[in-house]
Amino acid sequence: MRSIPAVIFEHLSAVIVVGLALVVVSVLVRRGEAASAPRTDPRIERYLDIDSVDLSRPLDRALFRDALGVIRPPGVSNVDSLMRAIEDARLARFTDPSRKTGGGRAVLSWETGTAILPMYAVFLLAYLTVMVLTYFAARALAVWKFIAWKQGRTSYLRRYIAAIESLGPGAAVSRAGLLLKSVLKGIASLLLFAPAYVIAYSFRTSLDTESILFLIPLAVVSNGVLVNYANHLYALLVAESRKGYIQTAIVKGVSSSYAWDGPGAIRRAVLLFPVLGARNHVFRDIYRNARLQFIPSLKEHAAFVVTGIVIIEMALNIKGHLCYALLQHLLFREIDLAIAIVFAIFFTVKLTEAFADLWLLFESRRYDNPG
Amino acid sequence: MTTRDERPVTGRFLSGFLAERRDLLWGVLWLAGLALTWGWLGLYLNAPARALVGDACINTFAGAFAAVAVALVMGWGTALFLHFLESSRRRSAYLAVSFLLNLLRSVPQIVGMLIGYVVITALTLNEVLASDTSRILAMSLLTALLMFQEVVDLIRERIRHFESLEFVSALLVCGVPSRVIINREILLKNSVPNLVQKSVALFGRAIFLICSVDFIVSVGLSAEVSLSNLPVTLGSMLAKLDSKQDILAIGTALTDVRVIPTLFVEHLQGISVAFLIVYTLLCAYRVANGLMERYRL
Repeated sequence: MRSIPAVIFEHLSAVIVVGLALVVVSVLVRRGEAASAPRTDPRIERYLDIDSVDLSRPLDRALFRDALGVIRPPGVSNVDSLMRAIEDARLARFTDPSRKTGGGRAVLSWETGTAILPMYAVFLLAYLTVMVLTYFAARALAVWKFIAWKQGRTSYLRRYIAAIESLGPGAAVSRAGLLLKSVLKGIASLLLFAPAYVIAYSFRTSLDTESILFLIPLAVVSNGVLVNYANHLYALLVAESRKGYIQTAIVKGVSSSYAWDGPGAIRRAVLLFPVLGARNHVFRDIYRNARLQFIPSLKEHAAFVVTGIVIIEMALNIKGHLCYALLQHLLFREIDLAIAIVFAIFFTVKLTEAFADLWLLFESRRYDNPG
Repeated sequence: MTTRDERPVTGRFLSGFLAERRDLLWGVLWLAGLALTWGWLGLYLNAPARALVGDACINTFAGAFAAVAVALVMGWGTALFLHFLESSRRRSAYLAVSFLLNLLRSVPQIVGMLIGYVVITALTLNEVLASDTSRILAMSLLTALLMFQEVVDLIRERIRHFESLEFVSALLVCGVPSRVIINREILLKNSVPNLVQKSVALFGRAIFLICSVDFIVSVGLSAEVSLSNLPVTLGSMLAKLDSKQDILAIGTALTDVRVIPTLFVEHLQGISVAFLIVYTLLCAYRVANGLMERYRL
């Protein structure tokens, strides 16, 4: 078993390595841009800097050309060629994309860095809320699915088909409720798997999709985050329930009825409190052992949640949010600031991974036999 | 001839099929859904838009398929390399490779995709990626780079599991080389359902990532590379103004039910593209889940 310092060292070293790598990337990009930046010939530049001549005006251009013809600056053999070069340089000031970012590109400084902090705080708030909500919602969903499986409940559609088989064609109408439930469940499934931007655009005419109050529930239900996380716990519960020690416990008489709220059965409270709600029931041990294996998946889940939030903030162009700012910095090639935001996001994921590892460590120590 | 006695048998067969081979069922449902959507588009969507949806589908699915294939190859190779380092007691190299893999795992996939997109844009502008195929393959390679760690984990878990069983020791005693045991006996003969299940799950993830990054890029990042330079995908198709207006019509339908019938006729481009993305993701999940249940993975 790993020690606490080992866990901290592992994550800290990853943060340092990535931080250094990003600094190197930033420096390389800056150097590359400086080397490839278009430079105007200084001999041309000095003509453009004459304050008293406005080369956008045809009259000034004509007078300037005549003046050049009279003065004949050294090294100039053809005045028309020089005029064309000056005109090209003047136009480049307006049309060259690398000079079009208006007031110059922002670089990472104390001011721009501190401007990121409030956005990062909002991002963290949204991220933590989504993490907590998805954890509890996925847990409830997985427990419910597991108990439904143990109860031998099949899908609404299968029950509808079975009803028609056993009761005859008349059941197609009398049991239409099952079909309706099946359709509603199908729509709910589509919603849970829909990418956030599809849902958000569907509701954009009737809801304020730029509010954090919309962002959080959307991040919980969309992108398949909740379903996949719940399914992972469900698979662990199923695997654990098939193990020998559970079968032994059942044979020895530990309560194993999955009927809701009957004598010796499982209580509905188990959906919210899986340990307390299953006191003296075999599910308690199934859940506790499955949960131990479920903790590491928090790391994978963190990356998915961040992906979901990034997609929502970017796709919906939610101004003033961290990921929208990242998109803008990428667009305007403000690489320093984009790298700073990427590092902040990476740091958040690493922090969650360290938390998951430490949580697993503490939980394992509770069950580990010393010596 | 159909008799009263035969009907329940057919029904039982259908129920049994539904219960036991849900992966196949959802695979067939996916194909049927695609065919039905295409037929519907043939009836109600104009030919140029229909051709565009067709191209978007092909590009997206081909890109996702290529991403899964590359992820499998990369994952397989990396897992074997890690196993070799571990078994030959090259601890420093093993730790370094594991550290790099963990680092890659910590990068949220969409952030990695965006950074990679910036690189692909630069390569497109410099005409290194000149054709649509090369751009799709570059995107697939990028997607695979962010997913292959899952294949590494799966293969390493399979190797560890089988190494704890006696048959591996028995084969070693018989003189079968370690690489043959791993590649042929463990992975090809005993892990195909696991690999297929993982591939289907990754296919869904690849579709999601490709569509999401294309949507984001089309909405707010494509400053220099015109959308016409990039191969159209379902994500970029959804970001088009007319598709977005079609999706917005769903919101209108929530408050005005009279709009609902028009969704499937007048707002078909956006609705069909959104449906194709969501339906494919749902089916990929169901197929992967079905495989997991059928083979008790």
